[in-house]
Amino acid sequence: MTTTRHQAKIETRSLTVSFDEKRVLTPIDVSIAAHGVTALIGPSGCGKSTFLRALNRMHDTVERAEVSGEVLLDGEDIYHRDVDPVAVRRRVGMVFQRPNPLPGSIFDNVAFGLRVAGHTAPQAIPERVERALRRAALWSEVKDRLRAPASALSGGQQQRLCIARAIAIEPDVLLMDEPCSALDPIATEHVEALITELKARYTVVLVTHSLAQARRVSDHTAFFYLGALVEFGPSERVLLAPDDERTRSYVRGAIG
Amino acid sequence: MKSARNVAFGALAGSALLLLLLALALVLGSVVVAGIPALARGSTDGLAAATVGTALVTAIMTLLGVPFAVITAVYLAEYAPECSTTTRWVRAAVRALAGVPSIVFGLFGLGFFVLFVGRGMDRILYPGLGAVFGRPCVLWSGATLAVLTLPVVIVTTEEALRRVPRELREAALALGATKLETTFVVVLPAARVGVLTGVVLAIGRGAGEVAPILFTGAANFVPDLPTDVRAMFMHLGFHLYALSTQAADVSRSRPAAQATALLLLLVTLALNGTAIALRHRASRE
Ligand SMILES: Nc1ncnc2c1ncn2[C@@H]1O[C@H](COP(=O)(O)OP(=O)(O)O)[C@@H](O)[C@H]1O
Ligand SMILES: [Mg+2]
Repeated sequence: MTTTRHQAKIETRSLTVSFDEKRVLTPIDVSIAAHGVTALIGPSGCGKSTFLRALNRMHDTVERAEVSGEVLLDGEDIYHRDVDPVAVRRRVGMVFQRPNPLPGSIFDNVAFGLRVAGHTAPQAIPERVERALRRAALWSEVKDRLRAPASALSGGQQQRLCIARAIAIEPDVLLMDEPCSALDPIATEHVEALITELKARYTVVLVTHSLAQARRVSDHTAFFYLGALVEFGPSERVLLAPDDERTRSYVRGAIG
Repeated sequence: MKSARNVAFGALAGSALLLLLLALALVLGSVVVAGIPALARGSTDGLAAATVGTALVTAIMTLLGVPFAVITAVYLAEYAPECSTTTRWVRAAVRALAGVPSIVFGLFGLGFFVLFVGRGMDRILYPGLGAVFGRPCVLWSGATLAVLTLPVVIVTTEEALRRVPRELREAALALGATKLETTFVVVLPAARVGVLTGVVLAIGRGAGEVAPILFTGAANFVPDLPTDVRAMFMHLGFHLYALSTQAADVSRSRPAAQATALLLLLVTLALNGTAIALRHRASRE
Protein backbone atom coordinates (compact mmCIF):
# COMPACT_ATOMS: atom_id res chain seq x y z
CA MET A 1 0.00 0.00 0.00
CA THR A 2 2.22 2.77 -1.20
CA THR A 3 0.48 6.03 -1.78
CA THR A 4 3.76 7.93 -1.76
CA ARG A 5 4.11 7.68 -5.51
CA HIS A 6 1.70 10.11 -7.00
CA GLN A 7 -0.86 7.42 -7.62
CA ALA A 8 -4.62 7.69 -7.59
CA LYS A 9 -6.47 5.97 -4.77
CA ILE A 10 -9.20 4.91 -7.16
CA GLU A 11 -8.98 4.87 -10.91
CA THR A 12 -11.66 3.54 -13.21
CA ARG A 13 -10.99 2.41 -16.77
CA SER A 14 -13.90 2.06 -19.18
CA LEU A 15 -16.14 1.24 -16.28
CA THR A 16 -19.69 0.39 -17.31
CA VAL A 17 -22.61 -1.24 -15.55
CA SER A 18 -25.61 -2.93 -17.18
CA PHE A 19 -28.83 -4.18 -15.71
CA ASP A 20 -30.37 -7.00 -17.75
CA GLU A 21 -28.04 -6.18 -20.66
CA LYS A 22 -29.15 -2.54 -20.58
CA ARG A 23 -26.19 -0.25 -20.12
CA VAL A 24 -26.75 2.55 -17.63
CA LEU A 25 -23.22 3.98 -17.59
CA THR A 26 -21.28 5.23 -20.58
CA PRO A 27 -17.70 3.94 -20.09
CA ILE A 28 -16.21 6.02 -17.30
CA ASP A 29 -12.55 6.89 -16.82
CA VAL A 30 -11.83 8.87 -13.72
CA SER A 31 -9.06 9.14 -11.21
CA ILE A 32 -9.73 9.95 -7.57
CA ALA A 33 -6.85 11.11 -5.39
CA ALA A 34 -6.20 9.75 -1.90
CA HIS A 35 -7.66 11.71 1.02
CA GLY A 36 -10.18 14.40 0.43
CA VAL A 37 -13.80 14.34 -0.54
CA THR A 38 -15.03 13.77 -4.06
CA ALA A 39 -18.67 14.71 -4.64
CA LEU A 40 -20.78 13.05 -7.31
CA ILE A 41 -23.62 15.26 -8.48
CA GLY A 42 -26.25 15.07 -11.20
CA PRO A 43 -29.97 14.69 -11.73
CA SER A 44 -31.55 11.62 -10.17
CA GLY A 45 -31.40 8.51 -12.30
CA CYS A 46 -28.16 9.60 -13.99
CA GLY A 47 -26.15 6.73 -12.53
CA LYS A 48 -24.42 8.18 -9.43
CA SER A 49 -25.42 5.31 -7.15
CA THR A 50 -24.69 2.79 -9.86
CA PHE A 51 -21.18 4.19 -10.28
CA LEU A 52 -20.60 4.32 -6.52
CA ARG A 53 -21.71 0.74 -5.99
CA ALA A 54 -19.28 -0.41 -8.65
CA LEU A 55 -16.42 0.84 -6.46
CA ASN A 56 -16.96 -1.75 -3.71
CA ARG A 57 -18.35 -4.55 -5.86
CA MET A 58 -21.80 -4.14 -4.41
CA HIS A 59 -23.28 -5.01 -7.81
CA ASP A 60 -21.94 -8.55 -7.35
CA THR A 61 -24.84 -9.15 -4.99
CA VAL A 62 -27.45 -8.25 -7.62
CA GLU A 63 -28.13 -11.03 -10.08
CA ARG A 64 -29.13 -8.83 -13.02
CA ALA A 65 -26.23 -6.38 -12.71
CA GLU A 66 -23.09 -6.73 -14.77
CA VAL A 67 -19.93 -4.65 -14.48
CA SER A 68 -17.25 -4.35 -17.11
CA GLY A 69 -14.04 -2.37 -17.26
CA GLU A 70 -11.58 -1.93 -14.44
CA VAL A 71 -11.57 -0.29 -11.05
CA LEU A 72 -8.03 0.13 -9.74
CA LEU A 73 -7.70 0.49 -5.99
CA ASP A 74 -4.10 1.49 -5.19
CA GLY A 75 -3.28 0.39 -8.71
CA GLU A 76 -4.84 -3.06 -8.51
CA ASP A 77 -8.03 -4.07 -10.30
CA ILE A 78 -10.69 -5.03 -7.76
CA TYR A 79 -12.53 -6.94 -10.48
CA HIS A 80 -9.57 -9.18 -11.25
CA ARG A 81 -10.73 -12.77 -10.97
CA ASP A 82 -8.33 -13.55 -8.10
CA VAL A 83 -9.77 -10.78 -5.94
CA ASP A 84 -12.31 -11.66 -3.29
CA PRO A 85 -15.20 -9.14 -3.25
CA VAL A 86 -15.49 -9.56 0.53
CA ALA A 87 -11.88 -8.39 0.93
CA VAL A 88 -12.65 -5.40 -1.32
CA ARG A 89 -15.60 -4.37 0.85
CA ARG A 90 -13.43 -4.46 3.94
CA ARG A 91 -11.16 -1.86 2.33
CA VAL A 92 -13.95 0.17 0.74
CA GLY A 93 -16.70 0.90 3.24
CA MET A 94 -20.15 2.15 2.38
CA VAL A 95 -22.82 4.32 4.00
CA PHE A 96 -26.30 4.21 2.49
CA GLN A 97 -28.98 6.76 1.75
CA ARG A 98 -31.26 5.62 4.52
CA PRO A 99 -29.73 4.66 7.87
CA ASN A 100 -29.85 0.85 7.98
CA PRO A 101 -28.83 -0.31 11.45
CA LEU A 102 -28.62 -4.05 11.91
CA PRO A 103 -31.00 -5.60 14.42
CA GLY A 104 -29.26 -5.67 17.79
CA SER A 105 -27.52 -3.20 20.04
CA ILE A 106 -25.50 -0.09 19.26
CA PHE A 107 -22.39 -1.99 20.33
CA ASP A 108 -23.21 -5.00 18.16
CA ASN A 109 -23.63 -2.77 15.12
CA VAL A 110 -20.16 -1.31 15.44
CA ALA A 111 -18.62 -4.66 16.39
CA PHE A 112 -20.27 -6.51 13.51
CA GLY A 113 -17.59 -5.87 10.90
CA LEU A 114 -14.80 -6.65 13.36
CA ARG A 115 -16.44 -9.90 14.36
CA VAL A 116 -17.04 -11.17 10.84
CA ALA A 117 -13.51 -10.22 9.80
CA GLY A 118 -12.29 -12.25 12.75
CA HIS A 119 -8.91 -10.51 13.07
CA THR A 120 -9.71 -8.70 16.29
CA ALA A 121 -9.30 -10.48 19.62
CA PRO A 122 -12.63 -10.41 21.49
CA GLN A 123 -11.14 -8.42 24.38
CA ALA A 124 -9.89 -5.76 21.95
CA ILE A 125 -13.32 -5.19 20.42
CA PRO A 126 -14.74 -2.77 23.06
CA GLU A 127 -11.76 -0.47 22.57
CA ARG A 128 -12.14 -0.51 18.78
CA VAL A 129 -15.86 0.15 19.13
CA GLU A 130 -15.20 3.14 21.37
CA ARG A 131 -12.62 4.54 18.99
CA ALA A 132 -14.98 4.23 16.02
CA LEU A 133 -17.83 5.87 17.92
CA ARG A 134 -15.55 8.74 19.00
CA ARG A 135 -14.40 9.30 15.42
CA ALA A 136 -18.02 9.33 14.33
CA ALA A 137 -18.75 11.97 17.00
CA LEU A 138 -21.35 9.74 18.59
CA TRP A 139 -19.54 8.44 21.67
CA SER A 140 -20.74 11.02 24.17
CA GLU A 141 -24.36 10.44 23.14
CA VAL A 142 -24.34 6.66 23.39
CA LYS A 143 -21.61 5.69 25.85
CA ASP A 144 -24.14 5.00 28.62
CA ARG A 145 -26.42 2.87 26.49
CA LEU A 146 -24.22 0.79 24.24
CA ARG A 147 -26.47 -2.22 24.87
CA ALA A 148 -29.63 -0.39 23.80
CA PRO A 149 -31.10 -1.37 20.44
CA ALA A 150 -29.71 0.69 17.59
CA SER A 151 -33.22 1.27 16.33
CA ALA A 152 -33.90 3.44 19.41
CA LEU A 153 -31.53 6.16 18.13
CA SER A 154 -32.73 9.15 16.16
CA GLY A 155 -32.27 9.17 12.39
CA GLY A 156 -29.20 11.40 12.56
CA GLN A 157 -27.65 9.27 15.29
CA GLN A 158 -28.39 6.13 13.32
CA GLN A 159 -26.60 7.55 10.31
CA ARG A 160 -23.55 8.44 12.42
CA LEU A 161 -23.75 4.91 13.84
CA CYS A 162 -23.63 3.59 10.28
CA ILE A 163 -20.55 5.73 9.69
CA ALA A 164 -18.97 4.48 12.94
CA ARG A 165 -19.73 0.93 11.91
CA ALA A 166 -18.13 1.47 8.51
CA ILE A 167 -14.92 3.03 9.90
CA ALA A 168 -14.58 0.49 12.74
CA ILE A 169 -13.00 -1.94 10.29
CA GLU A 170 -10.60 0.81 9.17
CA PRO A 171 -11.21 0.90 5.44
CA ASP A 172 -9.15 3.12 3.13
CA VAL A 173 -12.13 4.45 1.24
CA LEU A 174 -15.57 5.47 2.40
CA LEU A 175 -18.40 5.57 -0.11
CA MET A 176 -21.44 7.58 0.92
CA ASP A 177 -24.67 7.56 -1.06
CA GLU A 178 -26.68 10.69 -0.19
CA PRO A 179 -26.05 10.08 3.51
CA CYS A 180 -27.99 13.17 4.58
CA SER A 181 -31.05 12.90 2.37
CA ALA A 182 -33.13 11.35 5.16
CA LEU A 183 -31.85 13.72 7.87
CA ASP A 184 -33.02 17.03 9.26
CA PRO A 185 -30.78 20.14 8.92
CA ILE A 186 -29.12 19.78 12.33
CA ALA A 187 -28.31 16.11 11.83
CA THR A 188 -27.08 17.01 8.34
CA GLU A 189 -24.73 19.58 9.85
CA HIS A 190 -23.34 16.93 12.24
CA VAL A 191 -22.71 14.48 9.43
CA GLU A 192 -21.12 17.13 7.21
CA ALA A 193 -18.77 18.15 10.02
CA LEU A 194 -17.92 14.50 10.41
CA ILE A 195 -17.18 14.08 6.69
CA THR A 196 -14.77 17.01 6.87
CA GLU A 197 -13.03 15.32 9.80
CA LEU A 198 -12.87 11.96 8.08
CA LYS A 199 -11.14 13.13 4.92
CA ALA A 200 -7.82 13.39 6.76
CA ARG A 201 -7.81 9.61 7.14
CA TYR A 202 -10.04 8.29 4.42
CA THR A 203 -10.73 8.84 0.78
CA VAL A 204 -14.39 9.83 0.73
CA VAL A 205 -16.64 9.56 -2.32
CA LEU A 206 -19.92 11.30 -1.62
CA VAL A 207 -23.06 11.24 -3.73
CA THR A 208 -25.17 14.28 -3.01
CA HIS A 209 -28.19 15.92 -4.54
CA SER A 210 -27.34 19.14 -2.75
CA LEU A 211 -25.01 21.51 -4.56
CA ALA A 212 -24.60 23.46 -1.33
CA GLN A 213 -23.38 20.35 0.41
CA ALA A 214 -20.96 19.60 -2.40
CA ARG A 215 -19.61 23.13 -2.06
CA ARG A 216 -19.29 22.86 1.72
CA VAL A 217 -17.52 19.54 2.02
CA SER A 218 -15.96 18.44 -1.24
CA ASP A 219 -12.57 19.04 -2.81
CA HIS A 220 -13.41 17.57 -6.19
CA THR A 221 -16.73 17.28 -7.95
CA ALA A 222 -17.89 14.97 -10.72
CA PHE A 223 -21.01 15.83 -12.69
CA PHE A 224 -22.92 12.89 -14.13
CA TYR A 225 -25.59 13.24 -16.77
CA LEU A 226 -27.55 10.43 -18.45
CA GLY A 227 -25.04 7.82 -17.37
CA ALA A 228 -21.99 9.75 -18.55
CA LEU A 229 -19.31 11.56 -16.58
CA VAL A 230 -19.60 15.02 -18.07
CA GLU A 231 -17.21 17.02 -16.01
CA PHE A 232 -14.69 16.37 -13.26
CA GLY A 233 -12.38 18.77 -11.45
CA PRO A 234 -11.81 20.92 -8.39
CA SER A 235 -15.16 21.71 -6.78
CA GLU A 236 -14.90 25.52 -7.05
CA ARG A 237 -14.41 25.29 -10.77
CA VAL A 238 -17.05 22.61 -11.51
CA LEU A 239 -19.63 24.19 -9.24
CA LEU A 240 -18.97 27.85 -9.94
CA ALA A 241 -17.45 28.04 -13.40
CA PRO A 242 -18.06 24.80 -15.27
CA ASP A 243 -16.75 24.24 -18.76
CA ASP A 244 -19.58 22.11 -20.06
CA GLU A 245 -22.90 23.56 -21.10
CA ARG A 246 -24.84 20.72 -19.38
CA THR A 247 -22.99 21.22 -16.10
CA ARG A 248 -23.69 24.93 -16.33
CA SER A 249 -27.42 24.43 -16.72
CA TYR A 250 -27.48 21.89 -13.89
CA VAL A 251 -25.68 24.11 -11.38
CA ARG A 252 -27.92 26.99 -12.42
CA GLY A 253 -30.87 24.76 -11.58
CA ALA A 254 -32.08 24.44 -15.16
CA ILE A 255 -31.91 20.63 -15.36
CA GLY A 256 -32.54 18.02 -12.66
CA MET B 1 -81.94 -3.76 -4.40
CA LYS B 2 -78.39 -3.28 -3.25
CA SER B 3 -79.28 -3.05 0.42
CA ALA B 4 -81.50 -6.13 0.15
CA ARG B 5 -78.55 -8.02 -1.25
CA ASN B 6 -76.38 -6.72 1.57
CA VAL B 7 -78.87 -7.92 4.15
CA ALA B 8 -79.04 -11.31 2.48
CA PHE B 9 -75.26 -11.64 2.46
CA GLY B 10 -75.10 -10.47 6.05
CA ALA B 11 -77.61 -13.10 7.11
CA LEU B 12 -75.75 -15.77 5.16
CA ALA B 13 -72.40 -14.88 6.69
CA GLY B 14 -73.99 -14.66 10.13
CA SER B 15 -75.56 -18.09 9.90
CA ALA B 16 -72.34 -19.60 8.59
CA LEU B 17 -70.52 -18.18 11.60
CA LEU B 18 -73.23 -19.47 13.90
CA LEU B 19 -73.00 -22.94 12.36
CA LEU B 20 -69.24 -22.92 12.81
CA LEU B 21 -69.44 -21.86 16.44
CA LEU B 22 -72.12 -24.45 17.07
CA ALA B 23 -69.99 -27.21 15.58
CA LEU B 24 -66.99 -26.05 17.59
CA ALA B 25 -69.02 -25.92 20.80
CA LEU B 26 -70.46 -29.37 20.13
CA VAL B 27 -67.11 -30.98 19.43
CA LEU B 28 -65.19 -29.26 22.22
CA GLY B 29 -68.13 -29.37 24.60
CA SER B 30 -68.79 -33.06 24.23
CA VAL B 31 -65.09 -33.88 24.53
CA VAL B 32 -64.69 -31.72 27.63
CA VAL B 33 -67.97 -32.67 29.31
CA ALA B 34 -67.48 -36.39 28.79
CA GLY B 35 -63.73 -36.30 29.23
CA ILE B 36 -63.39 -34.59 32.60
CA PRO B 37 -65.24 -37.18 34.72
CA ALA B 38 -63.59 -40.03 32.83
CA LEU B 39 -60.18 -38.48 33.36
CA ALA B 40 -60.95 -37.73 37.02
CA ARG B 41 -61.68 -41.40 37.69
CA GLY B 42 -58.17 -42.00 36.43
CA SER B 43 -58.82 -45.67 35.81
CA THR B 44 -57.36 -45.78 32.34
CA ASP B 45 -54.06 -47.50 31.77
CA GLY B 46 -51.54 -46.13 29.36
CA LEU B 47 -52.80 -42.55 29.28
CA ALA B 48 -49.63 -41.15 30.83
CA ALA B 49 -47.48 -43.10 28.39
CA ALA B 50 -49.63 -41.96 25.47
CA THR B 51 -49.45 -38.33 26.59
CA VAL B 52 -45.68 -38.37 26.92
CA GLY B 53 -45.41 -40.32 23.68
CA THR B 54 -47.40 -37.69 21.80
CA ALA B 55 -45.24 -34.89 23.15
CA LEU B 56 -42.06 -36.85 22.39
CA VAL B 57 -42.93 -37.68 18.79
CA THR B 58 -43.90 -34.05 18.18
CA ALA B 59 -40.58 -32.87 19.65
CA ILE B 60 -38.64 -35.30 17.45
CA MET B 61 -40.64 -34.14 14.44
CA THR B 62 -39.76 -30.52 15.18
CA LEU B 63 -36.08 -31.17 15.86
CA LEU B 64 -35.63 -33.19 12.66
CA GLY B 65 -37.93 -31.27 10.35
CA VAL B 66 -37.39 -27.60 11.14
CA PRO B 67 -33.61 -27.39 10.48
CA PHE B 68 -34.04 -29.25 7.21
CA ALA B 69 -36.94 -27.05 6.17
CA VAL B 70 -35.10 -23.86 7.12
CA ILE B 71 -32.05 -24.84 5.09
CA THR B 72 -34.26 -25.61 2.10
CA ALA B 73 -36.03 -22.27 2.48
CA VAL B 74 -32.69 -20.45 2.75
CA TYR B 75 -31.57 -22.15 -0.45
CA LEU B 76 -34.75 -21.19 -2.27
CA ALA B 77 -34.86 -17.60 -1.03
CA GLU B 78 -31.18 -16.67 -1.01
CA TYR B 79 -29.20 -18.94 -3.28
CA ALA B 80 -31.38 -20.54 -5.95
CA PRO B 81 -31.18 -18.73 -9.28
CA GLU B 82 -34.71 -17.42 -9.81
CA CYS B 83 -35.61 -19.10 -13.06
CA SER B 84 -33.42 -22.20 -13.13
CA THR B 85 -34.93 -25.61 -13.80
CA THR B 86 -33.69 -27.00 -10.48
CA THR B 87 -35.46 -24.25 -8.54
CA ARG B 88 -38.69 -24.83 -10.43
CA TRP B 89 -38.49 -28.55 -9.68
CA VAL B 90 -37.76 -28.02 -5.99
CA ARG B 91 -40.73 -25.68 -5.74
CA ALA B 92 -43.01 -28.10 -7.58
CA ALA B 93 -41.84 -30.91 -5.29
CA VAL B 94 -42.62 -28.86 -2.17
CA ARG B 95 -46.10 -28.08 -3.48
CA ALA B 96 -46.72 -31.71 -4.41
CA LEU B 97 -45.55 -32.84 -0.98
CA ALA B 98 -48.11 -30.59 0.66
CA GLY B 99 -50.90 -32.34 -1.21
CA VAL B 100 -49.96 -35.95 -0.45
CA PRO B 101 -52.49 -37.76 1.81
CA SER B 102 -51.05 -38.51 5.22
CA ILE B 103 -51.53 -42.27 4.97
CA VAL B 104 -49.12 -42.23 2.03
CA PHE B 105 -46.56 -40.59 4.31
CA GLY B 106 -47.10 -43.50 6.68
CA LEU B 107 -46.26 -46.00 3.97
CA PHE B 108 -43.33 -43.90 2.84
CA GLY B 109 -42.03 -43.77 6.43
CA LEU B 110 -42.21 -47.53 6.71
CA GLY B 111 -40.46 -48.11 3.41
CA PHE B 112 -37.87 -45.38 3.66
CA PHE B 113 -37.08 -44.79 7.33
CA VAL B 114 -37.79 -48.18 8.90
CA LEU B 115 -36.81 -50.57 6.14
CA PHE B 116 -34.22 -48.59 4.20
CA VAL B 117 -32.54 -46.23 6.67
CA GLY B 118 -33.11 -48.29 9.83
CA ARG B 119 -32.13 -51.66 8.37
CA GLY B 120 -29.21 -50.01 6.62
CA MET B 121 -27.96 -48.57 9.91
CA ASP B 122 -28.32 -51.96 11.55
CA ARG B 123 -26.30 -53.63 8.84
CA ILE B 124 -23.47 -51.14 9.36
CA LEU B 125 -23.64 -50.49 13.11
CA TYR B 126 -24.88 -53.80 14.53
CA PRO B 127 -24.08 -56.56 12.04
CA GLY B 128 -25.70 -59.84 13.08
CA LEU B 129 -27.54 -58.33 16.01
CA GLY B 130 -31.02 -58.29 14.51
CA ALA B 131 -33.24 -55.21 14.34
CA VAL B 132 -32.16 -52.26 16.48
CA PHE B 133 -33.03 -49.31 14.26
CA GLY B 134 -34.68 -51.43 11.59
CA ARG B 135 -38.13 -51.63 13.14
CA PRO B 136 -40.96 -49.19 13.82
CA CYS B 137 -40.12 -46.81 16.65
CA VAL B 138 -40.75 -43.28 17.88
CA LEU B 139 -37.69 -41.95 16.02
CA TRP B 140 -39.03 -43.03 12.63
CA SER B 141 -42.53 -41.81 13.48
CA GLY B 142 -41.04 -38.42 14.29
CA ALA B 143 -39.06 -38.46 11.06
CA THR B 144 -42.16 -39.34 9.04
CA LEU B 145 -44.12 -36.52 10.64
CA ALA B 146 -41.17 -34.21 9.93
CA VAL B 147 -41.43 -34.98 6.19
CA LEU B 148 -45.20 -34.42 6.35
CA THR B 149 -44.73 -30.96 7.86
CA LEU B 150 -41.76 -29.88 5.69
CA PRO B 151 -43.80 -27.96 3.10
CA VAL B 152 -45.53 -25.64 5.56
CA VAL B 153 -42.26 -24.71 7.29
CA ILE B 154 -40.45 -24.27 3.98
CA VAL B 155 -43.12 -22.01 2.51
CA THR B 156 -43.56 -19.77 5.58
CA THR B 157 -39.81 -19.48 6.14
CA GLU B 158 -39.12 -18.64 2.50
CA GLU B 159 -41.75 -15.92 2.55
CA ALA B 160 -40.33 -14.49 5.77
CA LEU B 161 -36.81 -14.46 4.27
CA ARG B 162 -38.04 -12.66 1.18
CA ARG B 163 -39.63 -9.99 3.33
CA VAL B 164 -36.28 -9.09 4.97
CA PRO B 165 -35.39 -5.74 3.39
CA ARG B 166 -32.53 -5.57 0.94
CA GLU B 167 -30.99 -2.67 2.91
CA LEU B 168 -30.31 -5.02 5.80
CA ARG B 169 -28.45 -7.49 3.61
CA GLU B 170 -26.48 -4.65 2.03
CA ALA B 171 -25.55 -3.30 5.47
CA ALA B 172 -23.96 -6.62 6.37
CA LEU B 173 -22.34 -7.20 2.98
CA ALA B 174 -20.85 -3.70 2.93
CA LEU B 175 -19.21 -4.43 6.28
CA GLY B 176 -17.31 -7.34 4.78
CA ALA B 177 -19.65 -10.16 5.75
CA THR B 178 -19.76 -13.08 3.36
CA LYS B 179 -23.06 -14.14 1.87
CA LEU B 180 -23.19 -17.08 4.27
CA GLU B 181 -22.59 -14.83 7.30
CA THR B 182 -25.14 -12.33 6.05
CA THR B 183 -27.72 -15.09 5.62
CA PHE B 184 -27.25 -16.82 8.95
CA VAL B 185 -26.19 -13.93 11.21
CA VAL B 186 -28.45 -11.17 9.87
CA VAL B 187 -31.20 -12.34 7.53
CA LEU B 188 -32.36 -15.52 9.27
CA PRO B 189 -32.58 -13.90 12.74
CA ALA B 190 -34.51 -11.04 11.18
CA ALA B 191 -36.96 -13.59 9.78
CA ARG B 192 -37.27 -15.60 12.98
CA VAL B 193 -40.91 -14.69 13.59
CA GLY B 194 -41.81 -16.14 10.21
CA VAL B 195 -39.81 -19.29 10.91
CA LEU B 196 -41.62 -19.73 14.23
CA THR B 197 -44.96 -19.21 12.50
CA GLY B 198 -44.04 -22.17 10.30
CA VAL B 199 -43.20 -24.19 13.40
CA VAL B 200 -46.56 -23.32 14.97
CA LEU B 201 -48.38 -24.47 11.85
CA ALA B 202 -46.27 -27.64 11.63
CA ILE B 203 -47.00 -28.59 15.22
CA GLY B 204 -50.65 -27.85 14.69
CA ARG B 205 -50.70 -30.24 11.78
CA GLY B 206 -48.29 -32.86 13.10
CA ALA B 207 -49.33 -33.31 16.71
CA GLY B 208 -52.71 -34.83 15.95
CA GLU B 209 -51.88 -36.94 12.89
CA VAL B 210 -52.32 -40.69 13.27
CA ALA B 211 -51.93 -42.07 9.76
CA PRO B 212 -48.17 -41.35 9.41
CA ILE B 213 -47.35 -43.15 12.65
CA LEU B 214 -49.56 -46.23 12.08
CA PHE B 215 -46.81 -48.33 10.49
CA THR B 216 -43.78 -46.43 11.69
CA GLY B 217 -43.85 -46.70 15.47
CA ALA B 218 -47.22 -46.40 17.21
CA ALA B 219 -47.96 -49.24 19.61
CA ASN B 220 -51.27 -50.54 20.91
CA PHE B 221 -50.12 -50.79 24.46
CA VAL B 222 -46.75 -49.96 26.09
CA PRO B 223 -47.69 -48.66 29.55
CA ASP B 224 -44.14 -47.60 30.54
CA LEU B 225 -43.12 -44.04 29.74
CA PRO B 226 -40.96 -43.93 26.60
CA THR B 227 -37.23 -43.73 27.37
CA ASP B 228 -35.62 -44.93 24.14
CA VAL B 229 -36.15 -43.36 20.71
CA ARG B 230 -35.63 -46.84 19.24
CA ALA B 231 -38.70 -48.25 20.97
CA MET B 232 -42.33 -48.21 19.92
CA PHE B 233 -44.52 -45.72 21.73
CA MET B 234 -48.10 -44.94 22.62
CA HIS B 235 -49.78 -41.94 21.05
CA LEU B 236 -53.05 -40.33 22.17
CA GLY B 237 -54.49 -40.15 18.67
CA PHE B 238 -53.64 -43.74 17.87
CA HIS B 239 -54.81 -44.83 21.32
CA LEU B 240 -58.15 -43.16 20.72
CA TYR B 241 -58.46 -44.92 17.37
CA ALA B 242 -57.58 -48.27 18.92
CA LEU B 243 -59.99 -47.82 21.84
CA SER B 244 -62.90 -46.91 19.63
CA THR B 245 -62.44 -49.51 16.93
CA GLN B 246 -60.59 -52.47 18.32
CA ALA B 247 -61.90 -52.97 21.85
CA ALA B 248 -63.95 -56.14 22.40
CA ASP B 249 -66.72 -54.16 24.08
CA VAL B 250 -66.87 -50.61 22.78
CA SER B 251 -69.30 -49.38 25.44
CA ARG B 252 -66.89 -50.48 28.20
CA SER B 253 -63.97 -48.61 26.70
CA ARG B 254 -65.96 -45.45 26.05
CA PRO B 255 -64.86 -43.56 29.22
CA ALA B 256 -61.23 -44.32 28.39
CA ALA B 257 -61.79 -43.03 24.86
CA GLN B 258 -63.38 -39.84 26.20
CA ALA B 259 -60.49 -39.24 28.58
CA THR B 260 -58.01 -39.83 25.74
CA ALA B 261 -59.81 -37.41 23.46
CA LEU B 262 -59.68 -34.70 26.12
CA LEU B 263 -55.99 -35.29 26.73
CA LEU B 264 -55.24 -35.21 23.00
CA LEU B 265 -56.99 -31.87 22.80
CA LEU B 266 -55.08 -30.53 25.79
CA VAL B 267 -51.68 -31.73 24.56
CA THR B 268 -52.22 -30.26 21.08
CA LEU B 269 -53.35 -27.00 22.67
CA ALA B 270 -50.35 -26.94 24.99
CA LEU B 271 -47.88 -27.63 22.15
CA ASN B 272 -49.50 -24.98 19.98
CA GLY B 273 -49.59 -22.59 22.92
CA THR B 274 -45.88 -23.01 23.57
CA ALA B 275 -45.01 -22.38 19.94
CA ILE B 276 -47.30 -19.34 19.78
CA ALA B 277 -45.83 -17.91 23.00
CA LEU B 278 -42.31 -18.35 21.62
CA ARG B 279 -43.30 -16.62 18.42
CA HIS B 280 -44.94 -13.81 20.34
CA ARG B 281 -41.82 -13.23 22.40
CA ALA B 282 -39.64 -13.21 19.29
CA SER B 283 -41.89 -10.68 17.59
CA ARG B 284 -41.68 -8.26 20.49
CA GLU B 285 -37.87 -8.25 20.70
N1 LIG C 1 -31.13 -2.75 -9.48
C1 LIG C 1 -31.42 -2.13 -10.64
N2 LIG C 1 -32.06 -2.80 -11.62
C2 LIG C 1 -32.35 -2.20 -12.78
N3 LIG C 1 -32.06 -0.94 -13.09
C3 LIG C 1 -31.43 -0.21 -12.15
C4 LIG C 1 -31.09 -0.76 -10.88
N4 LIG C 1 -30.46 0.20 -10.16
C5 LIG C 1 -30.44 1.29 -10.94
N5 LIG C 1 -31.00 1.06 -12.14
C6 LIG C 1 -31.15 2.03 -13.25
O1 LIG C 1 -29.91 2.65 -13.44
C7 LIG C 1 -30.07 4.02 -13.70
C8 LIG C 1 -29.23 4.84 -12.76
O2 LIG C 1 -29.75 4.72 -11.46
P1 LIG C 1 -29.00 5.26 -10.18
O3 LIG C 1 -27.59 4.88 -10.27
O4 LIG C 1 -29.75 4.79 -8.99
O5 LIG C 1 -29.16 6.83 -10.33
P2 LIG C 1 -28.87 7.98 -9.28
O6 LIG C 1 -28.23 7.38 -8.08
O7 LIG C 1 -28.00 8.94 -9.99
O8 LIG C 1 -30.20 8.60 -8.96
C9 LIG C 1 -31.55 4.32 -13.61
O9 LIG C 1 -32.08 4.40 -14.91
C10 LIG C 1 -32.11 3.14 -12.88
O10 LIG C 1 -33.40 2.85 -13.34
MG1 LIG D 1 -29.01 7.26 -6.07
